[in-house]
Amino acid sequence: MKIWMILGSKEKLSTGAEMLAAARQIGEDRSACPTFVFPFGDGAQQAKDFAALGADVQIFAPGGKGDDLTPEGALFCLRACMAPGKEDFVLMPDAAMWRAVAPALAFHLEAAFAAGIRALRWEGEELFLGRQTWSGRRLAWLGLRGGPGVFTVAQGAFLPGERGEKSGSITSFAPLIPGGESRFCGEEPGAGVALGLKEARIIVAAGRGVGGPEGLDLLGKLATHLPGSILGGSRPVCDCGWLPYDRQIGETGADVAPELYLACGVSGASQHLVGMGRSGLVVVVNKDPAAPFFRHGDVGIVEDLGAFLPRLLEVLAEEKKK
Amino acid sequence: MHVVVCVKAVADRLPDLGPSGQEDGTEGLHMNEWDSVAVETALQMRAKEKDLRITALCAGPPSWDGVLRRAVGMGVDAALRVDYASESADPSAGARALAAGMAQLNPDLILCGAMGEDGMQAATGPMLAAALMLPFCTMAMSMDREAGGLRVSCEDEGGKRRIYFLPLPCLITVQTGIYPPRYPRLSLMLKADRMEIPVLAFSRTKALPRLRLAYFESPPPSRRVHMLTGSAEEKARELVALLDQRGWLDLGKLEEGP
Repeated sequence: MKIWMILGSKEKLSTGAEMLAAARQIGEDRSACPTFVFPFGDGAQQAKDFAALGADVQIFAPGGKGDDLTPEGALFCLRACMAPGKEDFVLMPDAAMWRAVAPALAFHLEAAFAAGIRALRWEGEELFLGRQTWSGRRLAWLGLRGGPGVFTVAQGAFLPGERGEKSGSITSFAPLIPGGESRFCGEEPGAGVALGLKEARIIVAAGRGVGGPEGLDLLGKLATHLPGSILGGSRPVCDCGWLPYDRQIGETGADVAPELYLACGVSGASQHLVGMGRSGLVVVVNKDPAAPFFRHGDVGIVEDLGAFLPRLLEVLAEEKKK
Repeated sequence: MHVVVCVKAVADRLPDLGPSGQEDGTEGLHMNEWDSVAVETALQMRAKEKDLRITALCAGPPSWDGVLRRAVGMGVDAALRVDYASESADPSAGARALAAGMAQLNPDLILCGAMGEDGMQAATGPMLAAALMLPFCTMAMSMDREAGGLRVSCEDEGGKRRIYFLPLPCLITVQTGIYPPRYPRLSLMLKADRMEIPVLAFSRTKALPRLRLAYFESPPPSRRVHMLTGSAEEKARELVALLDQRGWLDLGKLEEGP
């Protein structure tokens, strides 16, 4: 059994360590040989660090940059450097361009595909893969009999194991030349992250449940009672234009870790939770008692914000007079 | 220019916990949120470009005709359903059925939603591009027509964007936020309800990966929540007390003016 762990040129060592942990679970008792592959980019500098985790490393195009890849070009390279057999697996990070490339690669290889796997186990000859579905409301377990398989691995889901006793070998190959007709034209910072959002002591986060700009005004008033606080929001709130995108928290927005995270009307989709999981105290207000966020909060309040926020502001005003 | 938008139906209700059962076909369905954004994107393109026609395509059972009718209600010109019943948990199965439909429609541009609300794999678009050997990009946040193709801004990690030029024909998946999807118009819905939706028979020729959906669980909680109880006012007071206790509240400085 072969397991390829595909990484980009800027991948963190921790991402590699987590992938190796997943690979070792797949390869458990099956004489697997997990190998890190840097199909493009500047892998040469990182190769030693990754080899020290205890897996072999293959690098292509040492010294190259790989910043200007298109999904099509990346796919072209990957198809050129891999030919998995029936027992083999390919792992990629569940991030950025890999999300686009992995399913297309799986299709070409006629391999099974699963995105964002968070848990793994074998039952006899069936490999079970756990992954988040329905915005994190359901953990789906897939059963796979026989490879090949291409999976993306959710970040933070697998605990890095101990380093191997000895470093893996490092092999360099000639550069892979990306093909395809699409062209990379540059990067844009996008909305970026609002000044102070990452550093804020307190974040008052708005979800679709605030109902609209009026609800946000109320949250703004609440925030004036909380010194050092800033308003943030979930993706749907920014999509609706209630908050600018630079206030978005989650997978495609900011990663934050305030002392207090006050989530108002945020359902707790998995894409949002990855951006605030390291927060201190998490208070969740939502009218839906089944909202997934209640499973990821410290204090829960089931109330409709439209009624609860004015009441909360009244109580604050009273306390002020005391 | 012919734009084909792939749409799918998603159940209104969460799947039950436990072993995955077959849907009985009677439950409520709606158009996948990301796909409605893809339909809107096509309609926005048509508003700017003459001689652009839009076909909505789905690969599903007859009960999915409803989402095609909704797409017509939103304004697409035509609809086609590839008759297909899901037989694998692997997303390549559906992509192959859609590819069969594309062979009939011969599009210049294919638009898909970035992902499904249910599986959230973001796999169908890239797989369909692979099946048709088309240039592709995913999670588009904006796109502009240029000579011979499109300039597309795609979402990357942490809100960054990567810009690509894709020649036609190509496939693009769109992220929510590119355009807010419109509601169907009543007059168009009346037309959609009367129209006969063409159906394309599909038979699989490739063996599919042996991947099955075994069962659903509740995701494990990451924290142990303490739920506040009582009336709204009692909860508000308890929350204020908690915030005050931890030193997060500034009750002294509350000067709201005269």
